[in-house]
Amino acid sequence: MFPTDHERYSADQDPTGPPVPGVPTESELAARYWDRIRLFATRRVNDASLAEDIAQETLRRVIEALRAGRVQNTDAIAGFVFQTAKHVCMHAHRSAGREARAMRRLHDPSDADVVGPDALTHLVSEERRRRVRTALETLSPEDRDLLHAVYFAQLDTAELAAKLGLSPGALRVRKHRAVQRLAAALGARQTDETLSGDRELNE
Amino acid sequence: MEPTRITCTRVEEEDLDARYLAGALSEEEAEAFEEHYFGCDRCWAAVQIGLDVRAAAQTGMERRVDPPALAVARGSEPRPAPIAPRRWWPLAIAATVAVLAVGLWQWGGRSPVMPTGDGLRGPADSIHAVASFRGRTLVLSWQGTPSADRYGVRLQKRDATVVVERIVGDTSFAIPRDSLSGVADRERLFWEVRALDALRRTIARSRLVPTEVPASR
Repeated sequence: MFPTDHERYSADQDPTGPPVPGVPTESELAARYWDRIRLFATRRVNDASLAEDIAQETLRRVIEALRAGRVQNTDAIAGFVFQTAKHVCMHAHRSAGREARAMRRLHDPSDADVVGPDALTHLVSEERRRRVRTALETLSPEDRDLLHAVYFAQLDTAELAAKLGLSPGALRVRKHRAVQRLAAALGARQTDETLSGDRELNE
Repeated sequence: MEPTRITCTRVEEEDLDARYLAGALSEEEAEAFEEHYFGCDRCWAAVQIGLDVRAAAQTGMERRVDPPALAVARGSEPRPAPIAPRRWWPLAIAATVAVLAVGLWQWGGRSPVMPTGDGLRGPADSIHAVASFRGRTLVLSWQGTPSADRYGVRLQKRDATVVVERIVGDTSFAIPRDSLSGVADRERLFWEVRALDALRRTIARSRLVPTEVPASR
């Protein structure tokens, strides 16, 4: 059910036919949903490589459905991608994909597992980690430690706010600004606009 | 938490992004949040930043002497009592190892920082490993360990920054110079290999084997 290496998407290969006007292109869909699907899938299958296969299969199905006109409301694409990813994930557990991967690893040991218990963090490349560490060093110690406390030491804002003598709301503002500053320091992936509190909330 | 409807406000108020990454949401909550971030750039950006911070902290924690939660007490805020994180033991281990590592570094002058975590569990220097080159490819070969299921290979810098980390089934590992980013020509790196059992526990490990990065083309 999963595409082989030869069937994987690339810039000059389109297994699903030419673009259709009004329908997001493959690259647009991949730019928007690739990492979301990988994270979604990794949490379920605990395997970064299998999660990539799931992301590819999901995008392939979504593009096929869009081009076949099976998704009439393009505003609902996010929901359609989510449901497709969920469906593909469920089947991945039962498919031969895992077995095939084990066989590939047997023949190519460099096709390796990730090391460590937290598969989600292995979605972040070592190069990206270096950039993040560099960006974190540009933040104030207060911002840096707050982000560590929230995302790494897993202290929730209510607990942290009480320890710091702040209201939960004030701490949320501090966290939000720290996230903004880190995103700005990282530059490319997040922008102030996408993280801005001025942006209309998705209610 | 009512799982059926997620909004950005709820994400902020209930720390859904951080709790999701920590695996602290119920399956129903997590799935509802996932459905939300598929359609919400704002919350997805927060998830990405959280993932970045967690990943960076995991590989960088061996160099951090003070646990992050305690360091929150620094700065201009009123100085609070030390905070006990929910998962205190990884931080305690990391802090202990980091103190030992810094001590070794200070004591040994040019000695590299020792790795942390699994690397300390196996008998030290119980695998004989040899670094070599095949053209411009760095190669590490080692003696097999009879009860090993796989081997964990790590190439790191002097300051313990991980350059490459893999689990392999063979008793050698090769990596071309051109695929190494962020390292300088002639930079001195250190290999380490660990024998892992079926549950990925370290049962033996090598000493740190120095190697020099070949010049780029």
